[in-house]
Amino acid sequence: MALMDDRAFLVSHVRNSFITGDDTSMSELVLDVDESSGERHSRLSTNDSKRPNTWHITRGDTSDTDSCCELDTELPNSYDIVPDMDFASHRRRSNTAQRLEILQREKVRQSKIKHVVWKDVTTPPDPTLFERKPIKIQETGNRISLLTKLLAEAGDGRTNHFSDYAKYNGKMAPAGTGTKTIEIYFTMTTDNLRLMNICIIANATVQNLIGLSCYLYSQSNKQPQLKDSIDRYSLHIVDDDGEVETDFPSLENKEPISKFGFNKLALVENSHEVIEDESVFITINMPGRGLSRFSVSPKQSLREILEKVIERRRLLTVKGLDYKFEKQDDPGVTLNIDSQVCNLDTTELCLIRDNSVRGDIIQDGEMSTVNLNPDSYRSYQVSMVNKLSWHTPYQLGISGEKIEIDPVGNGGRMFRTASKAVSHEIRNVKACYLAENKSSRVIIRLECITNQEKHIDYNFECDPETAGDIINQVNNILEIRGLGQNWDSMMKGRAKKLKKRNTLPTLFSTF
Amino acid sequence: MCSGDQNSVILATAGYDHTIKLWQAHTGNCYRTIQYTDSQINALEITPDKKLITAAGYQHIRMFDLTTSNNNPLVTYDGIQKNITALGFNDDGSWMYTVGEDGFARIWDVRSKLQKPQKMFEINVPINCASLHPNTSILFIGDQSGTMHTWDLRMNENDQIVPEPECSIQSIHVCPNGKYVAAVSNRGALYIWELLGDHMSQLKPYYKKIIHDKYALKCLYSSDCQYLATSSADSSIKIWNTRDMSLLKTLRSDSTQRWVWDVSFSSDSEYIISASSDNMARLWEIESGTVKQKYAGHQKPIVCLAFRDPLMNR
Repeated sequence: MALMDDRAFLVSHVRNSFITGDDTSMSELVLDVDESSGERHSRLSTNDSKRPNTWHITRGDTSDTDSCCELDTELPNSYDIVPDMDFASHRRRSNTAQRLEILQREKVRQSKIKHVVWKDVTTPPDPTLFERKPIKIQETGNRISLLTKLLAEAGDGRTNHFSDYAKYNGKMAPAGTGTKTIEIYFTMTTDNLRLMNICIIANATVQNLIGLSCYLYSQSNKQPQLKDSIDRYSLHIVDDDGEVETDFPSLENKEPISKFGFNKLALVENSHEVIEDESVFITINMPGRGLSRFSVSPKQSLREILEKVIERRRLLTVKGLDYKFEKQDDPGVTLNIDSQVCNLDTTELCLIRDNSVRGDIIQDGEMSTVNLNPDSYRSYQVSMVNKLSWHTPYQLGISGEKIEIDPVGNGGRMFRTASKAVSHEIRNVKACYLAENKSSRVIIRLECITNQEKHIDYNFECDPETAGDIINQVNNILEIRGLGQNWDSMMKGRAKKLKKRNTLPTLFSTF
Repeated sequence: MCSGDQNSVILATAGYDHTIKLWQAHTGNCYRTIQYTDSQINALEITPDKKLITAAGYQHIRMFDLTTSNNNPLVTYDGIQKNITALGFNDDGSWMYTVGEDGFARIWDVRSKLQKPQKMFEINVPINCASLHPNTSILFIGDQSGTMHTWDLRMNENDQIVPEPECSIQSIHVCPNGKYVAAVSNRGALYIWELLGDHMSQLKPYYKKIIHDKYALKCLYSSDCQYLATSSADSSIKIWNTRDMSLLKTLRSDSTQRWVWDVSFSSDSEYIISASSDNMARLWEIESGTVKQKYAGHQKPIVCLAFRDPLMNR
């Protein structure tokens, strides 16, 4: 593309390769008007001294203006050349020739195929064809089938743990499927075996590519054997020699592979910390109590999630008071408490008390009590603004005891970054105020002190309404704490009172 | 592993993604993909000499070479109006039967040089399935109006039997011992007739039962006649003891398995392979009822499979 600032080259190139297939002749007209000859001659001669080589079509060392102009105005002879989307390579042959060749190839192919066309039968059939034959029964006896033998010989070693990813293999895909070939360096093996060309269907994700690479690697029986889960591997950018570019993080698993332009990548075994990525986010709605989000493994049961919810939201657990899950969009249908998350086909759940239905718990008046009550748990969806001005979605959970800051999802980022969940005790929270007020979104700042006495600021962006709620809630809590009351005894008193009333226990957090 | 080898296991699956895939049955690796242009594949069959695989689609039947890696068809059979739904060969592979939704059963001469069409039988109702009696002279045909036709090829006579009105016969299979014929319907019913008479052409009702809650899609006897397998839209496969028609096993996998369209027994009846709408074929061990191997690679539902598994001395 470096040549493209040479205008003379461009004009000639356009003339000779792209115009002439146009039936309307519009393109020729455009070029002709632009380059109407007399005007151009003068322009050329005046500019020539100042800008040598710009309007020249250099043929050897010639700089003769006239000859170059002649050459310029020459119309191409061939009308076979038509524009093509095939930029990647310079084709010398015309489209017609190509099409003819395809037809020719198809003809040769067809000539090898025998065609039998059904015709209505006129002649009586050959009677010998339909002789009744004696029935031979296949006696198994002491014999076994070859498959049984092969299975026994192969034992358990035959299983390719990655066979679920075989379907992304571009080489086995149906005709017409878009594919992409990527050179994968397997960093765990020796030099001469490490490179494989992996052909994958174009709409696969990075995770699919990892799986397919593992599948093909295992299939070719290379050593060392891979770990049996793709979570242990990630794809990294490599330089031309196959060296992993450690400066860049690995590719985000859920992104489509088509998003990246790399032709070479390296499959790298993860260190242990990064493995937990297979988790899913579950949203638990609690009528009147907002919602909570949890990162859980797909294998976890609802019972385990319930324990988590009870722990985090400090729900009342007394004998005879049970909770049940429903799908958020399917009210009234109780889910089996032992079913696994991966079998639910939803991530939106609703937690309600046993023997209750949604909507009968909260009355308006009590709703406001919850909001004003500083010790009740509230969660907010915000995004954290960090130094790189990446906006990462977070859930901010505020209770009378602590503030939890949990990352949510991966926000469509290209790379993984280490976003960790943190929590701060309320006594370590120093202030919460409005830091910046833009038109639609505002930034609030939360100042905390870590256990190591380090000062730390968080900036969250959210809409003004949420910001007001958060600031109110935090300050409300801080105020009560600041009064110096014995918080614990106050809470205990409140809990007792609640137990006496024994109504609406889910509304308030108790110990 | 060369697929054309007489002493090798051949497993082929095909369906709606316009490809035939050949698998190494014991490892689950796909070693060859054959493109079947223009249509889905409704039925697959391997010729008795194990050299060719025949696929039936919409308006054509194509034969591909198993002994070489040539992925172009060797023979194409044309001139049929609608879907071809089932096909099969006689014992020496000299002729092939096909049935289709155009309501015709056809016999094609596949050995002689002329390969001229041989015989035709018209039903006027779309045909779902057919099975050839092991004496190679009676073809049992099941159609969408619920009629089972017996077509005596030698005498060119035919007979009809309607086990139940207003249903559709989805699959028919004649027991390899030639004494029984089983059929399943879209109401989940299983019918078995005993075959009597000199030419095994008289049918005597033997057994009838609703065995699946939904569509039954396939019924198949094992080669030693010990078991009868039925598969269904309720995503299960049931294995029946033929001696007393007791249910031996219900094979139902993880929640992902969907309609099971086709099944095939290993030659020693130890294993059964199933083809399902979840793009996956599975190898089941009958005794334990567990999946021993999965064949993943198809992009769309698999509706048919062909399997050859030679018997070996221990």
